[in-house]
Formats: sequence, C-alpha cells, structure tokens
Amino acid sequence: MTSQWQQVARQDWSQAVEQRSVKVLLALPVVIILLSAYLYPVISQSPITTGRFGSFVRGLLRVVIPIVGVLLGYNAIVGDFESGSLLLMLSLPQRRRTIVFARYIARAGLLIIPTVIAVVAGAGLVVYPLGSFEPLSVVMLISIIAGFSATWVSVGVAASTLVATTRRALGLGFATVILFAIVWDTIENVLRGVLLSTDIISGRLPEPIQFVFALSPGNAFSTLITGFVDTTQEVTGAWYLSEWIAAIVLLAWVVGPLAIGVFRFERRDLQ
Amino acid sequence: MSEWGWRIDTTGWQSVARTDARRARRTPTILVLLSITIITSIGYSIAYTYVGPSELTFMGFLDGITTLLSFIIPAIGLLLGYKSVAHARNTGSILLALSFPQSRAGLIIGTVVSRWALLVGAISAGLTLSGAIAAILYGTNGIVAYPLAILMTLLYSAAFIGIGVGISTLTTSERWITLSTFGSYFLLVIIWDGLTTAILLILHRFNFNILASPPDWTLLFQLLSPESSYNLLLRSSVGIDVAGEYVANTAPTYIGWWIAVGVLIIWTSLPVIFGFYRFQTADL
Repeated sequence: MTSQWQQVARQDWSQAVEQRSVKVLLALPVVIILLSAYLYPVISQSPITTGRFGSFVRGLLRVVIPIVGVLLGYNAIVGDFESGSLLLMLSLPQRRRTIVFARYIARAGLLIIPTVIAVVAGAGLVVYPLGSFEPLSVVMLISIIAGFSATWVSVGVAASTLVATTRRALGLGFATVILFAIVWDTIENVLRGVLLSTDIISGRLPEPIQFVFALSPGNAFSTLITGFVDTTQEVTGAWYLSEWIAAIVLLAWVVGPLAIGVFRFERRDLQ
Repeated sequence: MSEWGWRIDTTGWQSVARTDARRARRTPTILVLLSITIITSIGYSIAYTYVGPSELTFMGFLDGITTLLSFIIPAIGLLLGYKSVAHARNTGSILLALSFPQSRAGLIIGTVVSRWALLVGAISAGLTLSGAIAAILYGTNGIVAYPLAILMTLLYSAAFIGIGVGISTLTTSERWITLSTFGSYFLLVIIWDGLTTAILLILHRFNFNILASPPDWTLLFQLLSPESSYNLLLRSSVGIDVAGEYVANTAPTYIGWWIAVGVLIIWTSLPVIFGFYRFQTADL
C-alpha cells in the first residue's frame, strides 16, 4: 500500500522536472534568496547575522512563494482530469486520495528542495565574509520557508481538485493568492486608517482584530520569522498573537486546503 | 563479473597501448606535436643565450624552460588526447577494437598509457638533450636536481593527457570536443588565477582592499590548477624561484608539495574516470 503513493509521486515528479516552465518557476525563489543573501550584508545595517537575514528576505518571499506554489500546484489534478487520463489512472488499484496526496508531496518537494538548498547556500553568502552564523536561525528559517511553501502548494493542489478546468483552477488559486498575499494587508491598513481618523483607536488595532488579520499565511510566516529566526526582534502582544499560535495557523494552512480538496474530490463525479 | 560488483574489467589494455603507440608513430599530427616538444626544449637551451639575463646560469635556464613548458605541455597533452577515443568512435573502428578480447576500460587505460608514454618519450628526450646543451653552455651548477625537474614535468604532462582523453571519451561531437579542449586550456592555464581573484572579489562584495591580504583559502584554490601545482613542485623539489606565495612563512601549514601531487593525480585520473563512466554505458 505504501509503495503506491510513492510510485505516483515519483512519476509526477519526473514529469514535472522535465518541463521548462517548472524549471523557470523554481529558479525564481532560488534566485531571489541567493540575490538577497548576496546583497544583504552590503545593504543592511550591522549586526549582519543569518537571523536578521530572515527578516530581510521575508518581504520578497511573502510575495514570490505564494505565486510559485500555486502555479506548481494548480495543474496537479485538473490537467489529467481534462485530458481524461485521470480516469485511466483511477482504473488502476489506487484510491483518489492516494493520487492527490502523492501529487501534493511531489510538487511540494519540488518547491521545498531547491528553496532549502538556496537558503543553505544563501546562509553561506551571508556568513562569508561579513556576517556571523547562527545555526539555530538557519534551521528555523529553513523549516518556516518549507512550511510556507507547503502551504501554497497545498492551496494550489486544493484548487486543482475542486474545479473542472485548469483555467478555473488557476483562477481560484490566484484569487486566494491575491486575497491573502495582497488585499489582506491593504484591508488591515485601510481599517486602521479609518479607525485612527475617527479617533476610535489610537496606535494599533485592538488585539482580537489583530488576531483576525494574523490568520493569513503571510502574516503567520512573518510572525514566525520574527519570533524564531530574527534574534534582534520580538513578537509582542497577547498570547494569541505569539509565534507558537502562528505556527499552528501555518500548519492549519498546510492541512486545511488539502483536506478540503481531498474531501471534495473523493465524492466528486468525474465522468 | 566477479563477486565485487564494481570491479572494473581492464582486459587487454597492454595490447591496446601497444597498438595505439605503434599507430601513433605513423600519424603525422602526433609526430608534429612530439617534435614541437623536443624542438622547443632544445631550441630554448640555445636561445637562452640571447633571451636570458646578462649572467647566464644553469638554474636560470631551468627557470626559463620550465616556464615555457608550463604553457606548451598543456597544449601538447590536450591535443594528443582529445581525439584519441572520439576519432575511433566516429570512424567506427572502436567497434572492431572491442570485438577483440579488449574491454572498454582496457581501451581507455591503454589509450591513456600509450599517449602518455609518447609524451614521456618526447619530454625526456627533449629535456635530456637540452639539459646537456645547457650544461655545456652555462655550467653545471644545480644539475643534480635536473632529473627531478624532468620527473615533475612528466607528472604535469600526465594531467593534461588525462584531461584530453577524458574529454575524448565524454562526447563524440566535434564541436564539444574542440570547445572543451580549448576551454580547459584557457581555464586551467591562462585564467585560473584571474578566476580566483574574481571569485574572491565577488564573495567580498567587490571590496578591493581584500586583494592586499587575501584569505588562506584562495591559496588552496589557486593551487588546484595543474600549473600552480607544477610550479609549487618545482619550487619544493628543485628550488626554482616560482610559486613563492605557497612556501612563504605566511602560507598556511596545510599547503605543501603533497597537495600539489594530489592535485596532479586528481587531474590525471578524474576526467578519465568520469569519462569512463559515461563511456561504459554509451551506445557506440
């Protein structure tokens, strides 16, 4: 039983790796991480540490990883559904959820492995010759970026299982990206501006409302980096705004979309 | 196949080497290459009278000829090796050769041995003759170390035979062979030191002050080119005034002649081994 998902995952992996578009897509986060690591010691103020590098690279990764993750994931199921090969595949002794999980693992791995390698190489660039090495921060940065990547591939694959055409899957995936990676923070800022101008609040939003906005994957990612990677910064506020809750939020974002996708896909009429 | 799955069958390398060397004696290109080696060596021993400094010594001659050879031998070695296997593959004669009790590994090892033996012959002959001429013209002070210098030159030449034959086994495309042959000469002989500086500058974000006091690893990296290793070997064995930065007091203790020997052995064997693993399963 266990070997079935491995076969599906391996086949999906090897098919994806050969595509030029996938290579270009994966080069994007790698180049961004390496370039940031190269420029960070020159641009940033001291102290130059691998921990503070996490905060430096965070802003770009918050935008790039969602896009790349969704683009990697959205085609996972629905492409085969459109071409009809999904039905052929399901005529083999494989469960539907096996296929979804296997493809998810293949594509998440496809994004996570180059990114992790880039972070390790980037840490080297930060440390040599100007920075100082904080091993724990590098390990945490790797796991947090891996978790964030897994989240957005999960969103992409989920979108892929929910709809009938690749175009709709892409639309659904990107709608999620735009909502949570772009519009979300704008809403927060607008709300804060309105409340500030009407003198209902002074300074920051009330903490329960902050918590609502902290539920997006991007904000969870930022909180995690502030809490676990960057040693010069601290997460402030109520307990539910802490980095540990953010870890649970990010985990929920990995599991949640995929669970919804699998649940719906198991019951769908594919004819 | 024996019980050791990775044991490599080297049947017939002696006969391959013998045939290859015999055939090479009748190949004009190879004869020209070998003559260039001999003529340059002998020619320099005479020309040193005119191009050398005012005070002509045997050590000065040795310094000059090893510098000259450090540029010529790479070219000769690469040109001797670069078509060896690929030519036989393109003409199809390799299939005939392999129909005899000769394995693929035997074919490559035999080729490397024969080409290197040819170059060994040319270098030994050339350097012995030119050494003799130089001893007569410029005195015998320092001639005791001369055999060592010849030995180091032979080791140096092996590296480029290895690279040449390695390139030849990797691909049959004429364009790639030519490109990688010129590329390896350019990279290993001409721009290696510049490359080290470039990498150093890039890593240090173009802070040019670092060039005044480069870190220790740059020395090690520089030593990875066959030419630097050859120079270091000449310095430690013969005492020619080259490669001073490796023997200076400031040089790290882990840099020494043993690394230079290791580098030359790696450059000899690694391209051949890498080429062999491609060649072993290649469709001929």
